[in-house]
Amino acid sequence: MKLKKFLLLFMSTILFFGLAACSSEETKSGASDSEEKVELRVAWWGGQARHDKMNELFDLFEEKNPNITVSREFTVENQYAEKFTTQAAGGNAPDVMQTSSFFQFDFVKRNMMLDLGPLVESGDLNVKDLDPMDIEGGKVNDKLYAISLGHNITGVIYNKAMFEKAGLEFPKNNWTWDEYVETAKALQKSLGKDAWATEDEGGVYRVLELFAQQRGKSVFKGDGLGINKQDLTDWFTFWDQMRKDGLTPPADIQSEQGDKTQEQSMLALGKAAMISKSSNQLKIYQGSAKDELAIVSYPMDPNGEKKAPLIVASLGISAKTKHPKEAAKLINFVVNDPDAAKIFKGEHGPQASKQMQEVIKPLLGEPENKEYAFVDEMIQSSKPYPSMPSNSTSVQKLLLSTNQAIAFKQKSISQAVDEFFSQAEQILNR
Amino acid sequence: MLNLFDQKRWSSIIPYLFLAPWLIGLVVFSGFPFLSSLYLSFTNYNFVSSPNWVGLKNYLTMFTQDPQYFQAIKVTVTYVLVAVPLELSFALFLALLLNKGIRGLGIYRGVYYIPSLIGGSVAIAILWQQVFGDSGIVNQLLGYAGIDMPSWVGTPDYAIWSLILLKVWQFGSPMVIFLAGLKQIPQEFYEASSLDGAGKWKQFIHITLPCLSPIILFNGIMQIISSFQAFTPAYIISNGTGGPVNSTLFYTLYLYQNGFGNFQMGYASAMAWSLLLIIAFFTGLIFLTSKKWVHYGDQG
Amino acid sequence: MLYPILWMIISSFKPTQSILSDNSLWPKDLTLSNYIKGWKGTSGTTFATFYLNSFSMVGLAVIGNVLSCSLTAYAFARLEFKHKKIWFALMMMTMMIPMHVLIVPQYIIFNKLEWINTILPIVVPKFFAVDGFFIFLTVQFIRSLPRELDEAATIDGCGPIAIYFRIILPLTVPAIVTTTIFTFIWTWNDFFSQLLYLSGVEKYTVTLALRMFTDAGGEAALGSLFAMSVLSIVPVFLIFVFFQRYIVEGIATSGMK
Repeated sequence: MKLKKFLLLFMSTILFFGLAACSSEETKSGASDSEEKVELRVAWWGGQARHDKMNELFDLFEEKNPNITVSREFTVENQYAEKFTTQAAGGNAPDVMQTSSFFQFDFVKRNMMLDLGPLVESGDLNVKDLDPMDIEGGKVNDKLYAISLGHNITGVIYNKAMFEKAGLEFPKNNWTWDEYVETAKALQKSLGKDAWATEDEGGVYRVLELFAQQRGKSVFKGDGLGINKQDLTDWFTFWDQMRKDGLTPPADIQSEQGDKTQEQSMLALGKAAMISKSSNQLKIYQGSAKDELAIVSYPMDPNGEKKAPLIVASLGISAKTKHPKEAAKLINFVVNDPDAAKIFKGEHGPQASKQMQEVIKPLLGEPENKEYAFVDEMIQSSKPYPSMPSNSTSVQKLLLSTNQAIAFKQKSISQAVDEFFSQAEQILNR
Repeated sequence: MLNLFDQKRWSSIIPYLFLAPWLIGLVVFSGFPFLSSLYLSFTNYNFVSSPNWVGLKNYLTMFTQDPQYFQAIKVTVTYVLVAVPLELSFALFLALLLNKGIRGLGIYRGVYYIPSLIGGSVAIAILWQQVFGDSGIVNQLLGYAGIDMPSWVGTPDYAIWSLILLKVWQFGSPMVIFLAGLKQIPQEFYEASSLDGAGKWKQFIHITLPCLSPIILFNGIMQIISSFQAFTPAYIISNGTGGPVNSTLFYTLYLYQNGFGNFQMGYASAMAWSLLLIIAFFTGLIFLTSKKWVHYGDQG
Repeated sequence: MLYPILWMIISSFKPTQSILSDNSLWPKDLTLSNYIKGWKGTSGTTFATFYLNSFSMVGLAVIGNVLSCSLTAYAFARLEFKHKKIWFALMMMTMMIPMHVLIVPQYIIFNKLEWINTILPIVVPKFFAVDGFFIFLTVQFIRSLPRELDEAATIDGCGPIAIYFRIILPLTVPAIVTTTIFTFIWTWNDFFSQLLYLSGVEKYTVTLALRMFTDAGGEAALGSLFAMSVLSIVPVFLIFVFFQRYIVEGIATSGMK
């Protein structure tokens, strides 16, 4: 009997806390007194170098705005969504948070981000100087939710010395798939046994997206898949051939590689000549590689659509913030203030504001110059990143393990493709 | 002091005095999360919107439509069945070796414990690669012996073994508990049996094992509970993917992917409660058999 | 068996670039720069702060666990009360749920209590015996003590409280020391709750700061990671070596008679 009473007590405690209803503070004080002391919480992810920059940035912001203190919550990328989501569930989300083309759809779908339209209209948020592509990239369902910190485009980062040794000319943007394969074969010949022309990228969602884009499609469409079985079969067949020709590492070495940090990557260690990554990573790879690196566009289908989606890293405001105006002020500072730009130095790639790009141009190093040249050329024919349905991360993981299953010869391509589609549909419908 | 109270009432209150901290902790800190996860397992909950009741849907999806769920069970059960007995026998063996009153052994015990200290550290991923990678030390040694092996951590058939060996390598915790248990065995037992002419092996079977049995039970149950929930090694070494080809997709890793990768806390909670049932089944079984082989001092 | 550890220690003295390309134990050139660079930590907060934070958090956690778990275990092992088996089963069951589904409700509680960005969510529950592992451990130790000890004491006029303090507590020193060691190590290493509840860098612990070295997107930090990993093991190792003596020697001096 006592136990029953006790359980009853428990259940009422649950009702009392009311799980999701715990975020009761929804008072958005629009009229914030400028004299009033305000504490803004800002969250971002990254490595040590980024933390140092961001801290310097916010120290300067506090100096310029004595009534605002910025409390900083930074973490590594892996656990960022986890921490942020838990905070939001607990009704304690930070006021301003970093997001990106990969996070924002999900954050918006779950009502975690504030529609920035009104703040732009009221003039609190100045987006006049920002590239229209960046603004488009911050929109979900035609509403602006995120302000770009910088943009990048996926390309092929390659080791120049290895190209020279193989007697190859450096590739040019919009090179074709045939050229890509021919280059890989020539590279492999000169690389020999313990290094490979490229990593096996058959399981990498981001490059499959590029492949799909060239066919006028995208991997995800609405709440389902945007590609068909033929597309995926073609894709896996291409990589299977690359593996059979010995142009990629064998399956075990490739899966051991996993998704390692740049300094542990095959490219940095001189074990691979090419890898497809975001353009803003060129400088990081260069930091750990002995040979000179460069970046070129992902191979293109000469008859297909030549558009690479733009990846935007951005800042958004929490839907539950009590200080939207101060938060806007902080974002304004980061994206429009020359002093901020000089500290930030395009950490996430060229900033959306051309003016800011000009400000930091003299401060950039050699890898950044290459990166900017690449992005400036490619952005002409880019478009906003396609939206992603919920559970898409699981489908991305499924892609990786499906490619591995083919590489380890556990499944034939057609069997693997069939299973991918049935499983992906189940995951997306869950 | 005792006279101030009615003797009988006082003695019925005393147990609750000892239990008070735990009871408060249960109500304030554990009970709500515990029961709310049960409730959430019947809902669709994405952390932000209110959970909506979906009945048994999560459980049905799990058992009927999710091949990865069964893969996760297969991986985890293999892991538990192989790693736990191996680790425990290893730990017991070393505890017996180290349980000598020789000076300086403390350092040895410490050295054996170091692997357990770096268990959750991120450095472990790189270390393990260095040992079981394609050009790691294990393959180098095998290479001298003329055996050519692929990367252990990178091959579906071997990856789980590298994690099992990692678990066995970190035998420090059960070893310390065994050591502590061995120290509680009254020395007189051994002295008496020596007089009776019993050898070392006989002493081990007739004194050490029975006296240590409560601790063996403890270590067994706790290792089973923790191995079923093993997360960190797989998470760190496979970078959260459970690869290659889901060969290290541990149960809690898959649960975590659903919860924090897809933000499906309802589904993750359903997985958690199914796991509770699985673990409860195994531990219940062991508790039942324990009446036959565990000897408590309080039973005389 | 010790190769991985030796390799890690040696690597911490190698220049970052040569760590991955070299798995021998004989380094060509040694450097202390990893330690110097690593110690500086993040944005002006050094590892001195992180160590201080870790130690104060872990110290409180140990005290809490030792006090509360021992009391609870005594009740479960020796005293009689209603529905004891059900309570015990409940205690075991709370350990069988993966922590990942408990995080959000726990966070909600601590947020309500306004304990976020303090060590309270990590430390206070320890005073209320939320960790069944240590209760169960101590129960098993107490139960392996002969019941005659209690009976003799009862004849001498001792109540349960006196028995606990005079007999059980001294005789379970090994269990208490084990609790101390494990609480120390596990709290020290418990990455996720630290990540969740400690936000400001001035509150960061060693374990949190270590993770900062591993995220992609910065200059090479592998050397610092190894150097600080080695350093972070030192206090835990010393605690272990110091306390385990009590497992081995403590009981002998306290007298079994």
